[in-house]
Amino acid sequence: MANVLFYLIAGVIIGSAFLAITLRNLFHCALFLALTMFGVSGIFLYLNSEFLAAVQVLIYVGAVTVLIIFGIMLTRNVMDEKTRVMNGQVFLALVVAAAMMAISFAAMNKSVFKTNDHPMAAVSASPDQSQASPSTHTDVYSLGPELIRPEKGFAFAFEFVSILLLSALVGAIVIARKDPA
Amino acid sequence: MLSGENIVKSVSDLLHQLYAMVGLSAFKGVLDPIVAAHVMFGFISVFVMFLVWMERKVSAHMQSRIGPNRVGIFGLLQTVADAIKLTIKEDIKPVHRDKIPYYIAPIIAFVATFAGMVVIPFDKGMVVQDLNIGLLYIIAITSFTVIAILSAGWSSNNKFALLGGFRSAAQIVSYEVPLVLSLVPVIMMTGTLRLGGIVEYQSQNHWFVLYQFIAFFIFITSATAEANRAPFDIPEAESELIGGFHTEYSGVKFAMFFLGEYIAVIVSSAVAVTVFLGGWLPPFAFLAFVPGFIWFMIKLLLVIYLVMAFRWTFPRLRVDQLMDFGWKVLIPVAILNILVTGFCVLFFGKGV
Repeated sequence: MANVLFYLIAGVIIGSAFLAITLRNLFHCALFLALTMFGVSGIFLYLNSEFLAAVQVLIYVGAVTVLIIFGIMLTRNVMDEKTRVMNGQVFLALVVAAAMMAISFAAMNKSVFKTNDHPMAAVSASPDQSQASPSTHTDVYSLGPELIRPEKGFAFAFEFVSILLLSALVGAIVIARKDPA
Repeated sequence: MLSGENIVKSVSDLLHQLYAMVGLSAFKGVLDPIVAAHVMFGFISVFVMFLVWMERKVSAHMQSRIGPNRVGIFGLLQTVADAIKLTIKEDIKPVHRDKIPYYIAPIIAFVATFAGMVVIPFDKGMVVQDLNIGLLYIIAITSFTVIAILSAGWSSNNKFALLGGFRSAAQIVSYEVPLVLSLVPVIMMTGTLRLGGIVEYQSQNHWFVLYQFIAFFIFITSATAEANRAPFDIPEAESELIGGFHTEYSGVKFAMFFLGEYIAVIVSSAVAVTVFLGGWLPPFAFLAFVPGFIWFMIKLLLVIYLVMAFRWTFPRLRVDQLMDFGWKVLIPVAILNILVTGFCVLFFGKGV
């Protein structure tokens, strides 16, 4: 039963991701991208990470996709259906995508998936890893301290990402600003 | 004793007996949520009809008119008649619409706001599902409305609808930031995102409106803007844009948008009541004999009345004023509020 649900969500994700890159109408692509992101949040829910699921929807559906739709509508003739699906950078894009996939696979293989006793989470780990920890419900209470506690080693990455985002914000303002007279 | 918890318990006992009678006990994990969704839908549709009537009466009073008074006593059945009219109306569709987005937009608009009702605690234990991440869930699930509005505006193939959709999406995205930031101090003080937990914290302390009046003000303002209501209703400013993003919608599809808008008002007012006004708690301890859900509804109606009073007393803002107010006033104040609350929590240990 649980597996059926997983394959259903995964099917929706793969199908809508494929449509998002192959459809000729860019607006439809953006809508399918939103569906893909929603499907990913479904996977997070399936793995009992409610917090990640909510943040996934909030950021990727509520903000990123909306920005993309804005970009599409403001930069192109929206009713023009003759958008090309590929451009000259397709091979470079393939290389980048393959590299990303390799990195995520390597990361997934290295990390130990702690799962709890909830039957829904059983698929996330191979049998030999499942008794690593009986109950690690990834709720907000455990997530917060994990991120900023110095001995965990995530504090540096956390601050690094903050600075990256801040500089991106400043950069956006500099680009968007009207030229000073 | 009459309390929300007991009502829910007896209703669910009755339901489970019913399941057993027809031999569906094995499916109660699936059936319970379906029943809950139907109960919530029934409640919401009747409540929205009442709110539309209330809105028309409130506006009539503010403008020295009588308002609807023909259908039913005090005109109470006026919106029922209107709803029947909307459902049997001819469904007029633009020929050059973008078919699929045009159809799904009203559905998303309705579902996204309706799903927010899941975590609203009407009374202790009287909630569909008191999620651990309740507050975050509401904020996340309602962000789908932007996609619905953009789809509606775009697929209608109408200049005014597209402009309305743009304005609306820009406004919702802008005001979502202060909305979320205004809730952060409360989360810092309570240390939970569960709506029931936030109310329980207030039962031991004072209501949050006393500690966080600024946050309450920011929340109500941004929630009004998020629901696209006057004085923030430039997305559908009749004099400029006909009807905004739903110009090309009629009949049931229009009703879905309309319903979604009112549900958005209900959900955000309910969050305001839960987070800032003590939810189901009575204002004074000696009034505790009145059941919690009655207190909740009284507070909910008061907050909704406040939002309605905004609509009929303030003039509409201009686009640039609207954006300035959101980005240059509300967001800095909200961030300052978070900073001050952070210091207070750190030095006085309030709540953590």
